[in-house]
Amino acid sequence: MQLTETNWAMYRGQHGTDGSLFIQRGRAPARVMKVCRDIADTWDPLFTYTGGKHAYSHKALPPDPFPLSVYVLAKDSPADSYLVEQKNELTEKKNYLDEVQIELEFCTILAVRDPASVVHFLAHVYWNVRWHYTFHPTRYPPGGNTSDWTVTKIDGGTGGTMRRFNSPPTDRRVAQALAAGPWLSCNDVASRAANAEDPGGPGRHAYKNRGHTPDVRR
Amino acid sequence: MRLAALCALMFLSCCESRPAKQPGGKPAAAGPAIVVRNLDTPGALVIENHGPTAMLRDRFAVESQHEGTWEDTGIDLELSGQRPRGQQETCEELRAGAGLRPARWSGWTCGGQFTQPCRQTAYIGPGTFRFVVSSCDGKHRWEGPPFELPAELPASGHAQQ
Repeated sequence: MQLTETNWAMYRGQHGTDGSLFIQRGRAPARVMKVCRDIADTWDPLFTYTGGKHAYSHKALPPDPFPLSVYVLAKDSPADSYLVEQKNELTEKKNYLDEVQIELEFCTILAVRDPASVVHFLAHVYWNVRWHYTFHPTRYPPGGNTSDWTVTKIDGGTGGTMRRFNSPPTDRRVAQALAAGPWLSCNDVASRAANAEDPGGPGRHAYKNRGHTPDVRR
Repeated sequence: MRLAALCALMFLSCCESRPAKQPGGKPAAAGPAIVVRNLDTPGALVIENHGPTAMLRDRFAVESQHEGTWEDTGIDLELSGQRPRGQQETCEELRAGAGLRPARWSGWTCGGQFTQPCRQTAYIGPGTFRFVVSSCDGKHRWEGPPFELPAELPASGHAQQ
């Protein structure tokens, strides 16, 4: 499960009248769902990836008597990206990437399905990854070379943590997300949020003032 | 009477199994003749049309091999260009004699062809895989030759073009 997401970007023009853009992917209306099922496909509503019978993370346990010792390895590489420049539709000028903050929080659950198809949650891990950077062109217009940009990491806003629990999750948000009902995979939710930043989209806010400071919580 | 009727039936069934002939005695044009060909880099391919113009499903599948059998991985790849996720499938025309070179697949379940937002993605190598292209009406499928994906790439191996 993915529980929370912070995801926004700020763009600024070279000159004061070039304007600025604020892209919000982590809040409604761009983000259509807060909690989502972090699965690779929609074949199975619970298990991470079920491609074929011999899936990456869906394994049959040996029919041995209990207790069983099982080694489980979970991997994930959440990723996102922003264009380095966009055209401001109010000023018709290019605006350049200025700041990005992305925070993703997950709860990965070890689950088993018994022969009666009842799912049992055995353990879980809370983990998060965070990126917070500012960007400034070293020349205008900046090209595609890394030397065209000064990229500065904001300490405290970049990193990751995790904590493991050898028990089923009791988080109310997990129970709500697992309840029957319409749902989207987190990949779908993230893609829809990215699409919402197109001109005219609900995740895009254009300003005539280069120095506009948005409320990133909205 | 019975023998004659039997012979007539055999004659009819025999003729119906042969390709119909166009006027002039030439055989009718063959159906779709799509060839899926792997390139040197694992995950790279070209799709060639050696027959008449064909309408293809705009996405193609990846199958994995396990103990001699092929299974659908559930991964759908784009024939040409990146489309917004969730966009409904369309048909794509491939003219006679033409070819397509889809973006290479890197082996990841999300972002395997193009840079895109991914919250859950897995590299499903190493293993043996093949691409499967389908006609838009679902009546035909063309399977490419198998190729091998190596052991896991670095995390930055997403969407290598």
